[in-house]
Amino acid sequence: MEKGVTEVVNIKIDDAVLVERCRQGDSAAMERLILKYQNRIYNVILRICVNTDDATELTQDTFVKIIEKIDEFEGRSSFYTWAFRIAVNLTLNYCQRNVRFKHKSLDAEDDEHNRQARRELKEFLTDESCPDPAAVAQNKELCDMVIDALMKLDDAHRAVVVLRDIEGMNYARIAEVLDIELGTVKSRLSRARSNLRKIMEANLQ
Amino acid sequence: MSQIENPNMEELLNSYIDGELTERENTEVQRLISRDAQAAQRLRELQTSKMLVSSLPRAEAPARILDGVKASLETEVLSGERAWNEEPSGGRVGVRHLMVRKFLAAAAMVGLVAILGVVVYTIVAPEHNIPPVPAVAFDGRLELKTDVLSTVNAFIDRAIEGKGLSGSISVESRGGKRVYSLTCSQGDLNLLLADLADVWGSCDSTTLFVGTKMAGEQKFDGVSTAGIIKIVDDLITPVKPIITKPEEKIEEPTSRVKDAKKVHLSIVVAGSE
Repeated sequence: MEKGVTEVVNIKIDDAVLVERCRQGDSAAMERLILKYQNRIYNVILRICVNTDDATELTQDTFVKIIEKIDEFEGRSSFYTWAFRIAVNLTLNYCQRNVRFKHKSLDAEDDEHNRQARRELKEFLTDESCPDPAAVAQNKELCDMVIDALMKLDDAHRAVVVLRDIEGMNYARIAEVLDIELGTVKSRLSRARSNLRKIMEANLQ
Repeated sequence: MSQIENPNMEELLNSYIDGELTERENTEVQRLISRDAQAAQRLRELQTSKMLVSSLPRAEAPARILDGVKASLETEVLSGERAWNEEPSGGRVGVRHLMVRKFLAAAAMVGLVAILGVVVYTIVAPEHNIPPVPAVAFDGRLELKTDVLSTVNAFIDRAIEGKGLSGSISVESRGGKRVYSLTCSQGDLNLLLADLADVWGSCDSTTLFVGTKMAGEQKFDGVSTAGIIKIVDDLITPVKPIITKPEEKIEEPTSRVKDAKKVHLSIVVAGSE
């Protein structure tokens, strides 16, 4: 990313102002919206669809759709919620059409790094103390195992976990993005986390 | 049964670690895990699952996304859609979009009103069995007054039927009167009038009204059927001009000649006062 562009993005401009400028055909405002949200949207999409090339394409499609539909954005929800709804819908539709990519599990390569990661994950799952997030993030093999387990969740369960634990949305926002009831968010998240743990434990067997 | 097997308890613990509980609910959960080892264990498991996912490293979006979006939108421009950096001419796109929507809504309303109008007219408007009166050579109204209304009407009905003129006539009953509207050839009218001569004795009055271009409406009281035939004939047959030079033959289309022979007569049968 160019330095100049980064500086432009860092100028804090309200989304509503940017949206209004986009509607007037202001291409600079469109660029700012893209640069402001592309990392967050890309990460959510990546953790739902897993593949980086697909995530790049889907992120691009999301912004194209956002700009095409910007006149239809009525402001009943925030732009952030509306944009993520488009992103998640596109991604889930894509996942449904491309079932073949699901369960493309990482074959447990029996190398030393992997064995070490499996031991660490087992400790995390059994140890009563909570693992250090920084240590987890730096352990690529361990992260791959978690991603592998995420991939094996149902699409709907994976979406709710990603929105909560990757994007950090609250339950009400998740309900808006997925267009479901708040109670459904709670029950879906509860089952998703429970299943995720079972999958990770099973992968260690 | 342990409380932890309750799905609602799972949801409660998840909501607790996500900070989605009220202060009171938080206190209840803390009290629960302080005295229920199983609940405390389950809470730690959920926290670990949450932490493992939330610790996944964040990726930087590829720089080509912005260029890809621009390229996609420019491709759409080439196919006639909106430009990436297009400045909308003549006002905001949103306003234009709104105006189009308003126009469509108004057009839909007009269409709906028109359809409703047709439906209401179809229901409310009286049936028009009377065929439109074509341009005719003679147009008159014959008023018959009688004490034996039903007898006269039945006689006329039979005469019409007997002469095969049912398809050329419409019948209406209006306020104690019956109106026959007949459009046929002069010959058919003459035949019908000849039959009706027998009912003339049952009529207290017989009056013919004829509209003429020269003298306006003319009234013939006490007219007989033969008198009507003569009046019609006089009005239809043109007065031949005095010929001062050899007459040039002008051939008219057959259909026009035929139409010119058509006559129209309304027969109004009413009770005597």
